[in-house]
Amino acid sequence: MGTDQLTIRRAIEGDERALRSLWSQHSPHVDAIVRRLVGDPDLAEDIAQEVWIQIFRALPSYRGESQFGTWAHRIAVNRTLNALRRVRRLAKLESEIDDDIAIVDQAAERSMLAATIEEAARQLAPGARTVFILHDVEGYTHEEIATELGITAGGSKSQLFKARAKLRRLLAHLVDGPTLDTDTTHVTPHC
Amino acid sequence: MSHLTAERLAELTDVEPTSSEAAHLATCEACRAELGAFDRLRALASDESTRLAPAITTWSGLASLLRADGLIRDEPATAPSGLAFPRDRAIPGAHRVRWGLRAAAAMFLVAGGTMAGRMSAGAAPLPGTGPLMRDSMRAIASVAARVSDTLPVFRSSAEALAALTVAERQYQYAAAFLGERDSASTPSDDASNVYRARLVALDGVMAATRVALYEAPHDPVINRYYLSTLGARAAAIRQLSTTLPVGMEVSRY
Repeated sequence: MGTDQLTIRRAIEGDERALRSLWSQHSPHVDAIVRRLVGDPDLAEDIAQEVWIQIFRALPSYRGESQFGTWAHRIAVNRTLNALRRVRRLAKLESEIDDDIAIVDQAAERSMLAATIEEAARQLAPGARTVFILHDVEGYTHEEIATELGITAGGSKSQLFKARAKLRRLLAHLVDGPTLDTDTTHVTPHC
Repeated sequence: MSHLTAERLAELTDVEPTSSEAAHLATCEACRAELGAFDRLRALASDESTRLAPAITTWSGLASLLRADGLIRDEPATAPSGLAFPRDRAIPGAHRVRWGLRAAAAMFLVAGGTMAGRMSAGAAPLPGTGPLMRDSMRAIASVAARVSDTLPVFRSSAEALAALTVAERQYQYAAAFLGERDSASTPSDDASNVYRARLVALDGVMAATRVALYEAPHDPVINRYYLSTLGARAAAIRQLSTTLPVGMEVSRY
């Protein structure tokens, strides 16, 4: 999305109309990544405001080397992860997911079937959701995720696969292929 | 060999299976089905990055913070707002024309798809169409036939549903992209009228999908249409706000 350089220049000068134009054009994307990473709607709203202030503060450093939307998106991811760290949302990164994945009560799980990836991801532990969204939605590598979150690439992979396994069940109505004669879910590892 | 675990199957969407795993997959229909489900999950997740949803920030809330932070410079406006966006005044009525053309193009595509679908099913393109209309239908069908060479073949309802989700989100993204380029970045009276007309139309769609929801409250397709319309309506209200004088915002419509 090509953002008018004149609009950016005016925004740097403090022109409210220009700032508002940038927000209007890019808030669907910036707010979406914040909401996906945070999960909690109220917290996401607060963090999204912080993100936008940070984007506008950083405007003078925007050199136009990438699309404005790409540049703003990167700030949004970094700022959101920083905010999540601050509220200790990532403190239990390694432990919370295991409890979630151990659930094998499929009847109960079916009652929580999600309509979208975002809705389903909200049912993951914060750390697992962050890894899943950064890797499968935003296209980060495990090495980049490890750097962002301060974990190992192996830890990132482990959480991702567990997260996918849970999401696959929550989104069964969207991802199931042709129905076999019996329930085909793989909650047990043996035939 | 035992079935592959869910986590290993989740991993196999990124890496190649070992030789023993490949041998098992070749003979185990259940594991192959599971692997297919994980592939579709990956596709849905990848598509999620383009999905639009109502913003969670509001300009009024953000503006007060930016003002407190000194990022908004409060100065009395000395020039007409249009000067900040000279393209607004370049060609009077150009927005309306471009929107008209795009609306016509969209209608053409939707109608063309529908009618091509009817023709492919052996039905008349539209009930009671005249010779002129039939000529148009033949032209659409000709285009559809050429395009159909590249269309996917679905093996299941789930695959078709996943493709529908992708297409719907890409459509929303493209529509929002065009809308922002044509109107939101260049506030004007024309844009305001476009947004108001869009809101009226979206309210009609909302009413129709709401009725459909009563009929099929758990249908995922109907739910997605309803939520998409809700999101589009919120976006239109937000865009309408950008055409108002600084300090004003639409709170209800």
